[in-house]
Amino acid sequence: MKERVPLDSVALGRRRIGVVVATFGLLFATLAFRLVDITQFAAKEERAAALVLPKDGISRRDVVDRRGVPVATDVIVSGVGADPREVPKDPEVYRSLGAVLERDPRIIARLLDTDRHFIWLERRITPRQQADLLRLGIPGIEFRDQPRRVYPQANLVAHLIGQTGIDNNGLSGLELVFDKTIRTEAGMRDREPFALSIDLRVQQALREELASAIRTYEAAAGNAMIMDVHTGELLAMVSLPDFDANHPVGPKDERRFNRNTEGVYEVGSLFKALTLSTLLDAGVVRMDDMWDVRERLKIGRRSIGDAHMLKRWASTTDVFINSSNIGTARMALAGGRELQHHYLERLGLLEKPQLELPGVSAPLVPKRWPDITVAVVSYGHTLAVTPLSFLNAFAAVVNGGILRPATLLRRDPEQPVPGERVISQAASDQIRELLWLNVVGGGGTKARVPGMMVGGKTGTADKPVNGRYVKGVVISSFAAAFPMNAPRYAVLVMLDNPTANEATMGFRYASWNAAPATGKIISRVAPLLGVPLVPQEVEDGFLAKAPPEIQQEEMKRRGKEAQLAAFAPH
Amino acid sequence: MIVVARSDRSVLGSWWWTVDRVLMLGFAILAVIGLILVFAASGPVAIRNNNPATYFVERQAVFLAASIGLMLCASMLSPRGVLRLSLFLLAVFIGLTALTPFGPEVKGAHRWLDFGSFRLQPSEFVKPTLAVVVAWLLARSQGLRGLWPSLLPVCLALAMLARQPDIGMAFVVAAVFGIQLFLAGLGWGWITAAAGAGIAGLWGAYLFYPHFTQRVDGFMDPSQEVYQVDKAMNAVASGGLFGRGPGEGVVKFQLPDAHSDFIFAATAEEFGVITCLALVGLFFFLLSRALRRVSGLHDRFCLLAAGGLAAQFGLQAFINMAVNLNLMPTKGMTLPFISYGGSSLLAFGLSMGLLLALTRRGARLELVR
Repeated sequence: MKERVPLDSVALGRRRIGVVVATFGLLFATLAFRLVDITQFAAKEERAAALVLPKDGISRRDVVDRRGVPVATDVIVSGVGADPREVPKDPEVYRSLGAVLERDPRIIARLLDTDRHFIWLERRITPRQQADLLRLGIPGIEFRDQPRRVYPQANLVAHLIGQTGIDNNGLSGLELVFDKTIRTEAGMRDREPFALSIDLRVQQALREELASAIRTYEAAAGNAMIMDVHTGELLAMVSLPDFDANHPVGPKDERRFNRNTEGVYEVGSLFKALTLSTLLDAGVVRMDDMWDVRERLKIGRRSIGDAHMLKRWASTTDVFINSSNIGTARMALAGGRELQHHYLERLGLLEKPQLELPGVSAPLVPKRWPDITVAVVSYGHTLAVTPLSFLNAFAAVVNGGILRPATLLRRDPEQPVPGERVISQAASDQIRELLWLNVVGGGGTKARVPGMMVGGKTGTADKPVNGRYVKGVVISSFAAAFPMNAPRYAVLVMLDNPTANEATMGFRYASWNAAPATGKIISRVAPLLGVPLVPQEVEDGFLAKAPPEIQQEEMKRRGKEAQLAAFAPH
Repeated sequence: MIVVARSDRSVLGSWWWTVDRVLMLGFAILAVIGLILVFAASGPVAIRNNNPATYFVERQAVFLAASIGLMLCASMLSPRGVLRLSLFLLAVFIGLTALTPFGPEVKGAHRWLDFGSFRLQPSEFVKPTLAVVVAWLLARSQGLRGLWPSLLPVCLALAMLARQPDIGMAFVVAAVFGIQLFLAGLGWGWITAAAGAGIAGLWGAYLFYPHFTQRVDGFMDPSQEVYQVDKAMNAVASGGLFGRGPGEGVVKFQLPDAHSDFIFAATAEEFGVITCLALVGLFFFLLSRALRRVSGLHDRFCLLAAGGLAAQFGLQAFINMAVNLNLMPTKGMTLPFISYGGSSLLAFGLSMGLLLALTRRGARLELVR
């Protein structure tokens, strides 16, 4: 080929182009190698960091009621943090962050003034805040997802479930007691939920009825429980006032107080059911005994009276259904101090009750135990116990005589429930009959629920205010079990300082407030619990053994009910 | 395909049969890929700046059309036309570059002039036109006697770039000049000396420009990661071989300049390393094809000018991708035809148009003899 230009300039240039191509080939090959290198080898960690959003905080199992309805569950919420080394040191940045997070820009600036690799700016932010922060596009801002505990039932079981901290760690209630059990590995949401003995339907009904009773009887507060007498499982436990578990109140707030387990009260005449059943068991008292309740009972310098003096000799049944302090005290004194002490101990009333909650209170036990103490303890004074302790003992004396530990966890129906016999079957049968009679023709008639054979006992105890009893300030309670032919559930309702108003015909006694409230509760929860109506023949069998005046009274009431039923539209 | 008879001697006809149509098509394909990648990467940046998500895509499409048009027009020029246009544009843009210190400051540098909504970076146009003018100055005389006159415009350009400062661009200008000298027959002793001077120049820049010092320190010290590069590496790693899929990128939300200087990393995240490898391959194919075409030229001016333009294209593509892969310290440099940026797109349209014009079959500019 013929060259027009000198070989040394153009031809050399053409040859050198090859060198340039080769050099570029090398450079581009380096790029290709680097690309593969980053992805496949060098950046395994970086890749993981980019793909997996870091998680902080503890994952927890769902807590559910006995039927599987959630009481507590985890939701994933975002938090915002920052790598302070990457965030521009600019007042404008602090201002815009402060605006979105609703915090003082100076605080943001102080938080970011550190050499650490990560700091939290806000642990829980809303999706809107997250979107706003993303839109700001500030370098170094990072989001981290974390589980947050929510309580879908809000107030309903707030006293029991407790609460968790910022890291989702258990702080109080069941969340604290079972913290290790409830905690689970991150992402393992499918683990078996943690089941409570509570039935949320029953809990809801109980809370509603208790709140209604507090309103109707103008009480300051109240508490109530329903227990399965054969397993010790608590199906419901309500203390009012309460709070929303999602927005817990301070530790000193009154609403925080679970009256069922933390409060100790002199329960009053409710206690007569325990006293009588233990004395029947010991053989000290028999059903056909007669007791002198004509005058006040003098013990040393003190004397005991009844609200309505019977002014006659009374049968054991009469003493119980008229709630005679004098009669009960005489029975207790007949048994003596040792026997009383022995039974109180067996029923677990002299020690702190066992339950899966922190802060359960021990009873206030009198230090000295002279005869006057024996007398007043027999009808529920001087010895102050938690409502839970009382209900547990009450369930034992009506269930056939076996004390079983109370629990807030669902028991496996296949497993036998541990228990200890505290009174005989015969004594339990007798107290059941007496409790039923008390509702048919005694102080508890307003707790009557047709077909449910409710049995129960009223208690109206003077309430100590600053260590002194104040006239007219009472705690009014009712303890019941149903159906009395074969008890399944025990109920305790307590009203703190109810007012004597029109609804109670001017009375402050439990028979006028706690008893009707209990009746309403039972009529509402019995269908939920699947308790069948007691056949008329069974109830008639019980009635046949009752004293004639009670039989007459019952027949009269049935006649009235039949008349009313004739008018009722079908 | 346009049907033009081989015997057609009109401007269009002779152009069609002499121009490298494969190379031309290659640049057009690159530009269309660029539009798709800007579409994928620019959304978050646009929204961050309170613009509609498609703001950058729409602007890029307009500039792309203008750029392709510019490329086609420029490719029809004769070598003499190339030279004249370059001389004129170099004078204009050197003048405009001289005005940039009075323009807006962006990220610590004065490189731009505002014309309404369009922000012009005049130095982008200095690069290709300077290469053509230097080639002319070198080709005018035998051997390397053209070196001395060509030093004047090169030094002027370097001085202005250093003042902005734009060390990356200055480096490209110097390197292209070096390659042109090499092609012009510079002796190996001189080459060694020039390489030494280049390194000394970079060292000087490192000592005297805080902006540059910071970038280099950030690159050298692995513990002191530069935010952009850190995120770019995250993006590449997050994409893996096949990418997260178009629009599925997450790191791009945190990657500044994902639509311009760091579009390669954003591409890696969404389209995967395999796509990036193909892109590297396409760049090298276009570069080597252009250079092979150059090596077939018989005219010294055309060879030096086209060689310089091709080298500039390849060098800038390499530097941009190397920065994205943390092989080099950060520089504000665009990926030819891919990155968002009006100045860059138009300048590369012009530049590759000139390259196509100079590599047309039979192109020559009778300077010597």
